[in-house]
Amino acid sequence: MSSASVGQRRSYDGALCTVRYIGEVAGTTGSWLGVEWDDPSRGKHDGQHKGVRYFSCKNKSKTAASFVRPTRLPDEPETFLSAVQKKYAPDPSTQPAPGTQAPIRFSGKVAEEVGFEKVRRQQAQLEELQYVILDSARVARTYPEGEAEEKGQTIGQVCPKIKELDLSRNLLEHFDPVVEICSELPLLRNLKVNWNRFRNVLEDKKLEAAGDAFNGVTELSLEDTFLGWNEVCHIASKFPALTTLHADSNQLSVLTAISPAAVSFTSTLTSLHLEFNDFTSLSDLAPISTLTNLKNLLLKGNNISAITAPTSPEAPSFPPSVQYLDISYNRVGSWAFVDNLPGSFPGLTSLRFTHNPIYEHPDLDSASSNPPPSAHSSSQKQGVSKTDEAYMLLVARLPRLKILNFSTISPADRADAEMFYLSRIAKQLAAVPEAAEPDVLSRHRRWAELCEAYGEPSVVRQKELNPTFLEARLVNADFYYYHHHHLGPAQGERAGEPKMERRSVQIPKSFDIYAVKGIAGKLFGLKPLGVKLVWETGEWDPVAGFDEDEGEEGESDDEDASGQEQGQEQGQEEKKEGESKTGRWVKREVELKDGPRQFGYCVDGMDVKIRVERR
Amino acid sequence: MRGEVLHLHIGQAGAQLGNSAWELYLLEHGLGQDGRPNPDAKDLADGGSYDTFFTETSNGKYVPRSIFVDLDPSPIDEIRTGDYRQLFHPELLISGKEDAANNYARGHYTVGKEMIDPVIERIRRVADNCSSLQGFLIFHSFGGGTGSGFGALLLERLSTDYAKKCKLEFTVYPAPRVSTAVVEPYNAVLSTHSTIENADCTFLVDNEAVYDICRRNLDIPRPSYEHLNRLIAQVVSSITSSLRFDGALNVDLNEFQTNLVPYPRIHYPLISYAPVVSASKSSHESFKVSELTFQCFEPNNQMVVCDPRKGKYMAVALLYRGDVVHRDCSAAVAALKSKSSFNLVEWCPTGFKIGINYQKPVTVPAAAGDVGLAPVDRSVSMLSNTTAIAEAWSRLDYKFDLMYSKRAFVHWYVGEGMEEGEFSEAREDLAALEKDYEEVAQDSTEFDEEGAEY
Repeated sequence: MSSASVGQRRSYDGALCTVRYIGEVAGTTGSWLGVEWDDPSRGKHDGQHKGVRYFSCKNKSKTAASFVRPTRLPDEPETFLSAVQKKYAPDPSTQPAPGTQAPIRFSGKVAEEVGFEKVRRQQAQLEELQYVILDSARVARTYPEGEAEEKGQTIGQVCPKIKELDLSRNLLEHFDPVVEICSELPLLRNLKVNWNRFRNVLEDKKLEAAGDAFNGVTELSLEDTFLGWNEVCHIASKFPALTTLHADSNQLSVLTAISPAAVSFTSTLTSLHLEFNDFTSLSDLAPISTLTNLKNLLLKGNNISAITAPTSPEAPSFPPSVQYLDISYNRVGSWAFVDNLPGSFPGLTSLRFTHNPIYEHPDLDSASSNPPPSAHSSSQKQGVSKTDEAYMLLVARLPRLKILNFSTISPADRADAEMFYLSRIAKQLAAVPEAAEPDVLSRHRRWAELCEAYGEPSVVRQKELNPTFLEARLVNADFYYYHHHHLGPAQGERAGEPKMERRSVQIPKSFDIYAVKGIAGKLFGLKPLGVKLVWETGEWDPVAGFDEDEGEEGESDDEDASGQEQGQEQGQEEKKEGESKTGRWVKREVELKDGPRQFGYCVDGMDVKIRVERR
Repeated sequence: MRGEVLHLHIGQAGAQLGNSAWELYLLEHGLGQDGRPNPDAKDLADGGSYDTFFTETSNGKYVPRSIFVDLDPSPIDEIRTGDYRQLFHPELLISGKEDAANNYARGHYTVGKEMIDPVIERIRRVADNCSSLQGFLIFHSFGGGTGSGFGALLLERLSTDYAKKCKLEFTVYPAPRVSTAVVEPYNAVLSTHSTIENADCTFLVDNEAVYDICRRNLDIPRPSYEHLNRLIAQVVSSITSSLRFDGALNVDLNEFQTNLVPYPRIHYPLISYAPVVSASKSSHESFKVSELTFQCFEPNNQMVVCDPRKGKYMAVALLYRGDVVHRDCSAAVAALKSKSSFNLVEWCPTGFKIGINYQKPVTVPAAAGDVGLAPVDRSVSMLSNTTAIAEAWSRLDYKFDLMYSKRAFVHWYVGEGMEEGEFSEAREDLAALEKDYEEVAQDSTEFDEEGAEY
């Protein structure tokens, strides 16, 4: 076993780590190896022990590091070929052939492995292997230490047909073994080297001289390698046919400009995966705009909340070739972000947007400007319908979108969503005074366009809404008036066949009775001062105490209140018309007397029926 | 050479499912949309044996050995005008003029009766062209009129005409959340009653379970039928892959039966599939063989909503696919054994089988941001005959009883010439089926006490 060195990759019982420190630790004896585990929850600290920092980890987790004794035996590293052989063509002498080992029994029955022998034979033909997955195989180098050539067999001879190679979670320290392996695999198309910790990528001589080692590779995965963006670009630049690049989980927070040296892949790359990094705004990704052929950009699981970074006010602009953007599991919290997306992604037709704050709670945005107190709490309760709402709003706000969250948007869906959105805007408009309307509309860019398509929605300020709204202060007054054939004195009501005419108007409560009379007069073409208004309450009052006869009916004025202490209408003049039912009941009617009293105080309720009579 | 398999797609659900399934078969065999070998087809270890599922024509085209039938013209018309119009033989796309209106009686009696003879005639013609027909794969739904009624009718005829051939069904089980008709429980009960004796093995696919998988595992908030069908197609493909490619387990249809069906009536295996991951998720998770195996035993990955922990397994078949080596399988199964929650009944003649198919799983390449099933290196599908699936039947029966106790909607069936007695007869049959499962489960508990060896 070679002695430890900083940067070395080791495996202890299958758990991979990188040596970051060799030396003593205060308070203990002997020397230690400070290691950073690949699994960040595996360790105990982050390189700082009892207040002393010995080393620092690439991983930002607090528990990625431990100290282990250098004497502890690490697992034996493998070469590429030995790993391939171990997995696909185990030596029958060391590995029990299928069927010979003790069978696994369930409740006394053997788990029968049908045809394993055949599959094993098939896989053991290494020269036919096309897909090779060697994850967690402890591969550290290409050939055994010492000179490879004398071993006789090269990778190209053993398994030349490999098309897809997965070397994730191995002990690779430098990129050159990868170059060596790939240079012998002319058919290789897909290369995964996730979860390795490469060192000094920028100075790697072999990589620099990679030549055509990666000529056929179209898909490269460099996930979880903690490589910087410039290192990723440097590696990618050696892949002349690269179309898909995965650089997820690399703790990237800002991309630097892609150096002109790396220009080769900028024209071929179509899919770029930058998931689970630490971007906070789309501006952090501005250098991507040089990728002229990029179609899919995946930014799932970042911390993106804005288009522009606070430092650079200018919105980034991505190539129009970008069709698909995955921005789920981010922190987008405002609709303005959505509205501005087409500005940055002019060719966007497909979007994935779930699990953003604004998607879970579509009201958030409007709440910021005029808080409807109940809206927020209710949004938690009805999660499902809220996301449906968010879906509709997203569709409506992005006119060119064709696919959202993997679901194709049909024309009917779009029309639905846009009408819904329009009604939503109308609702918001209704909730603010007219003066604030432009402010609301400024947040809805498609207002004018949608109005043109679907017609402007009527902004109804509903009555059960906020009492401060105008509509809460309007009374629906239903006037009606009997035309008489002979215009005699008012007593002649019953004479002839009266023809009824009715008119409805809304009158603010604050109008005084004079004004109401004016309105009534105008409605029926009468002189305002020549009419009398009688409010028909529609209620029946008992006639207590005295018997009124026919004589009383008609005009008999007010102030008679002997039997009518009901007096809900404070101090109003009451008048009864002797439509006595079975003698003891009268319809309660109230005359609205001339005066500056407010209409709202004279009548009760929001709908009143008023009879207009000539005086 | 292995014998040929004929696909029958009945009703709207069957036709759409068939569309998705053939779409995937084509990709797996490296064929283009018109059935010709696709020169750009990548990833092909070998094209597999075409002749079990395809007929090769003299001009080098491969025509699916499948018949699509619907009483309603529109689903078949969609195929006739869709992407795969060049693929299918036009004579094998059969549509009626009058639909079954979600009514079992129409599909089975009035409307269906006029269609059955031409359909049987076509089947005979296809069968006569086969050198040794293995059997039929029948895709239909339980809920719709054509699927339930006509499907049952066709199965009856097949079991008389082709008694010795194997008849496997893929059946879409009605789900209340993705329901189109209120009478689905009636159709399902009636259809089950008349197919239970005629089908050899029925794979239930519960729309609700698949819908949940789409929402939960694929993170598709609003799954469409296309999403559901693509997922089901994956499962169908992995079950049938051993018929098409070099695998060892279930090389012919009969073996399905012998492996999984201990009694003729207990022939409803539960399907589980892993991994189900969306396209943008796959690379962050490693899919170790043991993890996949465990996932198969989780209710979240089942195609029918039921709780297998409440039941007993009578038979299990694990079909591995892709980059899987023998050692990993054995290790995974050994790990499974240590889990005490897994109960296999003692008495049962069938057992626990494991098979590997070296063919890598293929996914329908998603257009950007479209339906995203991730391409994976390996997958597992599990077919298990468990008593827990009786839950699905009792759910159905309950819904049936709710309506039938008031004789609601029965007049639609009687009006098509059905007798009311058939309802109660069918319902009794289902009750007997539930009872069968109960007995099977009970038997095992006695033995389990003695045979426990954990």
